[in-house]
Amino acid sequence: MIYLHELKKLLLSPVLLALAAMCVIANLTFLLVERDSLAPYDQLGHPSDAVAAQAVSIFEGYRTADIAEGYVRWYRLEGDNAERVRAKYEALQPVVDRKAASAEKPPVYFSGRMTDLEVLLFGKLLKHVSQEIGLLALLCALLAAVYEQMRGTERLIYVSKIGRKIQLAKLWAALSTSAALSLFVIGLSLLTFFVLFDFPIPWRADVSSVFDHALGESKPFITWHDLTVAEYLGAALAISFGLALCCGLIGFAAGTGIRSAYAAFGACVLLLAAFDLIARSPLLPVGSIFKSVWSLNPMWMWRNSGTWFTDGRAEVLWANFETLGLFAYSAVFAAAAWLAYRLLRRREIH
Amino acid sequence: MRLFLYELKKIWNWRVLILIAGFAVLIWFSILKGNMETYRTVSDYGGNFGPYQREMFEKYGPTLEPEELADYDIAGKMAALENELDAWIAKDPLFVQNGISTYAGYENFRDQNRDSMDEKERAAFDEITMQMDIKLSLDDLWNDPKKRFASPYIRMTMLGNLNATYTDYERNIGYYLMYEKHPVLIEAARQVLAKHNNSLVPDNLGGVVSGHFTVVGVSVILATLLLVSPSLNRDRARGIHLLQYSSAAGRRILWMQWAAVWVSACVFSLIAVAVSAVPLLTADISDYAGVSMLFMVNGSIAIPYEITFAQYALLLVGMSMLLSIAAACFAFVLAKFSSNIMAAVLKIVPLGLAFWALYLFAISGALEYYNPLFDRILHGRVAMPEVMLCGALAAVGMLTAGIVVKREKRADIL
Amino acid sequence: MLSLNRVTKQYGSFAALEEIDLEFAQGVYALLAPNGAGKTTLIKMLATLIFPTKGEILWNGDDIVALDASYRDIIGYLPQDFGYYRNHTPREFLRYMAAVKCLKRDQVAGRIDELIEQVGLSDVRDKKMRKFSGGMIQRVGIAQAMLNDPRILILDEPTAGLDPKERVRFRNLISSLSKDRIVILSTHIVSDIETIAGSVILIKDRRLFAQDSPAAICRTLSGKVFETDAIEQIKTPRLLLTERQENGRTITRFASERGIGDSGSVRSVEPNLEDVFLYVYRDEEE
Repeated sequence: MIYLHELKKLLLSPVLLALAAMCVIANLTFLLVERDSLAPYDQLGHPSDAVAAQAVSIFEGYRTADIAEGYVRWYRLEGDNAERVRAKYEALQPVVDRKAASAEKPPVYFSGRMTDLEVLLFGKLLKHVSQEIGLLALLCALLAAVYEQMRGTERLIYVSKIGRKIQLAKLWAALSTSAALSLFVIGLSLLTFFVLFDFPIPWRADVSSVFDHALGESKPFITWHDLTVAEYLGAALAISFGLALCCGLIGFAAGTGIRSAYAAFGACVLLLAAFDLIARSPLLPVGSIFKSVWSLNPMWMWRNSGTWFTDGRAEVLWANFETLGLFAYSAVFAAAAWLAYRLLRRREIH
Repeated sequence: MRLFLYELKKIWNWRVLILIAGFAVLIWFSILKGNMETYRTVSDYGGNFGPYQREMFEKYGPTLEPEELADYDIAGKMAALENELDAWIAKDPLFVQNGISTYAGYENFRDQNRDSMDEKERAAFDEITMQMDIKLSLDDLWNDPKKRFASPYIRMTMLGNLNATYTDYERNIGYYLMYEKHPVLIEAARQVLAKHNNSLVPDNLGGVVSGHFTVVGVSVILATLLLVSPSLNRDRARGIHLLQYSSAAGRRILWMQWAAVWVSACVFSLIAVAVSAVPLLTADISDYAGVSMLFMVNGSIAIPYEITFAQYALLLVGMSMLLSIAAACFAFVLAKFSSNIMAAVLKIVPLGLAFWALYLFAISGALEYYNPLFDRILHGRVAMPEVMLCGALAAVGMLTAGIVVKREKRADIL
Repeated sequence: MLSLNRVTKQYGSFAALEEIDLEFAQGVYALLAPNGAGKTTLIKMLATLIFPTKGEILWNGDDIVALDASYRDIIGYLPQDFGYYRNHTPREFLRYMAAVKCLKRDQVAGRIDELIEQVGLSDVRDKKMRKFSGGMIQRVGIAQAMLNDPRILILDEPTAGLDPKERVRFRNLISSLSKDRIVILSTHIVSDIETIAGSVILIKDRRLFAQDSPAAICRTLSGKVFETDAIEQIKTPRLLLTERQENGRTITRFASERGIGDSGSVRSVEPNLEDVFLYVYRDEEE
């Protein structure tokens, strides 16, 4: 029952609803601007024609060691750092061989609008949406955590039977609200995308065959697992939801663990900024374990959303980094949230 | 005055300032330091002209006249380098195996007719020329301008670029005037033609400074919001405004608070931009203060206005300040309608993000031909629209805040 | 039975309360002490908002902190200056409070209506609280504290800021609520407790100074309180208590350890709680 009350508070919060609406409007504006800058579709070859005419088996004879060497030279890597990068791409070779041998999903390279689809939907829109729902989740959890403190009602509530356990109900309510708002933002943004763009998307084709190359790079789009375009979209959305969960946990931990609401907000901003800025910093050399661990953080994951499920460039050293990062950081933030809750249970309320 | 100082004191909270200083350190180490190092490396060893244009600037001042170009003797310098290259090619097995002993021989080999080759021969030829190119540029796949600069071939290319820029500009401007549709750019091309493309501004200077100010500008706006936000709401959240409104100062206090907000935004952004400019000044950048930014290189005009580098930098600083003031004024308005700090934060966060997006959209590449506002929205019809946008936003912010403050005079305080 | 055994509360090196021993059975207990004497600290410990540094607080022999939710289930608490949701109606707010008190849904509606009636807010039960007066908010506060029909009702300065009419109304309400439960009332307004408190607890110098009925507490000053219209003629050491105007004369009420007896303009009067309060806390006045 208390969960429903907390849910109602958040779901009916005008600021959160306005924020979600603003996200949708921002995405709509972005898509309209992008649509204007795209070449008319009839000027491009139709995918099915292109498949028939220009299908190229790009994986045949492809050597992942070349990708590794490219990175080693570009980042001027040496010693263990270089060897770690080489080892990762060595592990990727069997994946390429498997894709090359697969007769079921012939490559459909250079098929008309697929680059636009990849860049626009997966490279830009999903990145924006993922960041937006993360921000919504963070603010929602922060608001839920400090709600009573802001209104001076926490003493009344902490003395009631439910006491400080109310924070748990608030956490579930915040996560539920975040999920609902995320669905709202994602649903409307994708709907807008599909209404505005008439891409003939080969949903059942292998995503490694559909996308010409990795975003912003010349190497192929090599996913560790065989994913169809539909599965890839679903998996990317799942990771986005997961990152939003991470943000919700950060917001809850800060709001519950830090007495001042503004300081809690400041702590969240500082943490996220540190995640991003330290990951960019040359202080952490590419190929090092620390850089790789740091690059699993939510900010870096957002920044590199186009590389999810692929090798993820040289910064990360492990396969399936997005899943690994999501679970690792979710666990860390869940522990932080739990710790903050334990602290609250012992905190004196003046 | 005393009241105003008290309001200023509330805003300049040392805890928030420490937090901002922490951010600044992170931003310096993660972004700006690398950019500055890249600028120095590129200025000394890379880019279109390597260190040669700088050498000209030191010798001849901000403009290059035809006699000064002749005096620099680019042809002589290139000939010396070609001799160096000949000696080097004559010793390299890859070139020797293909019967090449001089640079001229390499050029002949590279430019031979490929049409007579079958597919296999063409692939083999492409592979060989690629290998030769890599060797000549000392393995340019390495992201290391310093290493590449050791190659006489690279230095020759730089001198060639320099020569083309100051001698072939008329042809380039001809193409430019033929194909360009944006009126401001056409006018800029005419001006470049009239002054014989004589500016010695480094071609990467505008990009470096603009990139620097994009990072600094966005950070300053966000930091300004972080600085002014807590104080905006505190009095209201704690009911102190009731005491203030009923005191002798009365609702005039809100004018003071508003003034304190925009003065703080102004002062803070000025200090932040000044501090952030120190690394630029300690590099050789300040030497170029009097150089014109209107310059055609590689067939395009990056900044289509006849302004000096100092004016360009001041415009960037001014835009950052105007946006900071605008953001602070809007934050003031939003905070006025928030009953507690969290409600204000939930409104100010999207405001900050909107300004961030606006900055990247409208101010990044400020005053350059590819600026989205100038290029994609206004199609090059209006000069310096970025500056006008920042001014308009600051004016709207001030006006909105002013109206809100004025209306408060007759508002019932519940 | 609620009991405190040698309870001490320290903030770093500063002791807010030291070695407090108290027992509460059914009835109204008034914590009487000047501001800053530790009343709210004691109240907050009873409400489990803060925790004793030393000693223990027991409910029927069990530590209240260990009892956790089962203890909070039997208490009702009205904090000093409590917050509320300004856009809620009293009924909505009480419904929410019923949820946090884990009350069964089917019992809630009737109970809320009953309490709203009892605190005299029936006319505004569906009006938003943003325009309520301090007294009305305080009545919503007492209603929320009573929602779970608590065995222990803890009220921290419940009449602070109320007008005399509201205060009388509040006193009557507390009195009516005190049957079959412990009511612990913290205040520095002596008139609040004179009529309703069964027991008065005085805290002085961070320690328990006295606990007794109001009459017994007043008796401690019996024969030591006087009134005169010529205070300047009194040469014995005395403590000025109050002054009032009567028929154009200034009547001064004072306390003196030495028996003065009825003589001339001086007459002995019955001490009241206010006299005791002023007398006990005279050092803190200086």
